[in-house]
Amino acid sequence: MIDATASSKVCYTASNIKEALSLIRRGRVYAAVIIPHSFEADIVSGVTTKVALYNSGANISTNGFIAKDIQSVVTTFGAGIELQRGATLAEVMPIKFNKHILFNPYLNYAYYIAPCFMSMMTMIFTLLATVYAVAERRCSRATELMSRVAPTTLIMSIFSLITLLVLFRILGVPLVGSKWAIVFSTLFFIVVYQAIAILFVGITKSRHFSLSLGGGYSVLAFTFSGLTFPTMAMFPPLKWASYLFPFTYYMDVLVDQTLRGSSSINTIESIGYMSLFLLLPLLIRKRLC
Amino acid sequence: MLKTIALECKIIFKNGGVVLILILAPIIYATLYSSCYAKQVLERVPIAIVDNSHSHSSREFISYLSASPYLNPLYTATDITEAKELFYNRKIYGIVYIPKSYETEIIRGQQAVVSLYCDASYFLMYRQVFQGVVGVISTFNREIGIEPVVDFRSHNLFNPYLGYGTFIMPAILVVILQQTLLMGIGVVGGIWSRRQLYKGKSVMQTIVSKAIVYGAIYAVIAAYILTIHYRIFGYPTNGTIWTCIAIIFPYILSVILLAITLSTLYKRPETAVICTLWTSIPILLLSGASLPPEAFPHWMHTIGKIIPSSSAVTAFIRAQSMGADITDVGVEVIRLWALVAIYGTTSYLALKKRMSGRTTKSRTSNLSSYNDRHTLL
Repeated sequence: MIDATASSKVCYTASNIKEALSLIRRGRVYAAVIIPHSFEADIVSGVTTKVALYNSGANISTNGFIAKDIQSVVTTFGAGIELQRGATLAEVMPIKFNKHILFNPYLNYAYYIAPCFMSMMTMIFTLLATVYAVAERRCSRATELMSRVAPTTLIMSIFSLITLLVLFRILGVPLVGSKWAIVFSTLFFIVVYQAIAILFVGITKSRHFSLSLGGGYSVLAFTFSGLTFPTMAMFPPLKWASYLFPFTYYMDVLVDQTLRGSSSINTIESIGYMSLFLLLPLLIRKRLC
Repeated sequence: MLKTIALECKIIFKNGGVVLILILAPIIYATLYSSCYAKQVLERVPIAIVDNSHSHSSREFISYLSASPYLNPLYTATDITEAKELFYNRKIYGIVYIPKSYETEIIRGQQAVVSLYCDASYFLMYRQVFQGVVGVISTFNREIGIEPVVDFRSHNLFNPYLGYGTFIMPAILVVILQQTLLMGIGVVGGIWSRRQLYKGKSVMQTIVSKAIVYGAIYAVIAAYILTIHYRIFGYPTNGTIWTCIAIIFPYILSVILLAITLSTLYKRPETAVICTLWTSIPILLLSGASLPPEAFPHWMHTIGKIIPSSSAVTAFIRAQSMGADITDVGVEVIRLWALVAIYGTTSYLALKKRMSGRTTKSRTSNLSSYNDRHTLL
């Protein structure tokens, strides 16, 4: 029955717990199911028997899949025997629940990590390329600054539109919301990170230093977006820090539009927050030109 | 050789950018990431309840939901549409729907059906809501149903509360060491290139000197992370110190040799930052620490093995989190030593090629004019 589950497969039979633990430590298996000697005798004689699952917590994603699979195997197995003994379904399981998955019903990790991953790349390259272009030397006028920023805007826009095409047309990431909302927010996202790049150039002395700083900032965005570990569970100062990354708002837009199909008001709100970052270069305009 | 060591140290410590990447970044990243995950467990995810039964039994059920550590029934909605609206506004991450017939069915001895609407666009939220509701329902069933055939106990080994930090941080810490080394040595390589320091040096001496300098710095950083950092954030330390050293030593060495190889390619310090930075997240994914290797294409996993962190992450997690000894992680340690041999050879060849002096005239003049403008770096 375990082999019939969605994610688990029996690969080894161990003679005792120690051997099973050793298999886990060697990375051969993620979990061990312990079935006692008296298993069959207990069932035949109508005594409650015991089954234990030793599940490695070192990887919580495998842990979750295995826990769910084994739990459902045990429940189905037990219910089957009780029904054979003549119990009614209502006695075995007085409350049943129906699960409805509202968003991302495919439970596909890739649908959710791929857009995020591509956006990380867009963000990192936009930020670094803009720093690289702007930090060369001081601009004499704002228009000169613009002309140095513009090629990056153009190239990254084309790049991001191609990635969007790949994501939705080739990889088949669902798109339940508006595609124009995604296109607009993606292009806006690029410009916002360019504004941040300009800020980094303005506050640092050398190009190399602003690249390191900008790079550090962009890599952190992934954690602070709360996609993997929700910001809700972070300590308040770190939760507030997550508002300092436009990536967070952009991810909200992506999740809203690709998986949830929520109304555009939520998206407009996120874009509104993102636009505040456009004001940042104004803070250091004296140092730039 | 002492001269080369002294030169390398001078380049590192006289340059704010290099110190930032090589020494401060691993510590800052380690601390920041760990602090983000410091609460470890996502608790009390807000959910909404649509109770159409309005009965004693349904209220009892709701009180059970409130008692679950995973759930926080923050809102009571009159219908599903209202609850969905809360969903879109990110006020809640799950809906429990109790139908009108709930109490009558229980009293009549029929099976009552409760619906759970959950959100799989955020996996951890989904998991906590799902687990919370399933837990409550099975407790309920045990109380009012007949005695089950199988008494099922689930034990989580090595990370009993399934803390997110305990799960992901050991992998991130190992990857941080690699990425900052790759970037730091790359930047210094760019500086060598710009100042034309490759001329007239012995290949072996350069490799050994660099390995000593970076090895010494990273021995201190790794020791800090494994002792003080681990203590502060309470990560599992089930491995013996010798197993950890047996993994970390070839790991750092292979990373340094890989970094030396790559550093010969950079003509400018900035290039190293740009070329290394974006690789961090793909490399973390390839290590198989967050998504298990079984979940992505086999060829990717195989190719990933040329990156030192892929072997080091799994070996380190098994040693430090699971308490594996050296024989349990033998395969990975041997693979790391193989990488030491491979990258030792490539760094030798790359440096030899670099030192044979094939810098074109035009580039040299370009670089020197560039140097005039940026004397700081």
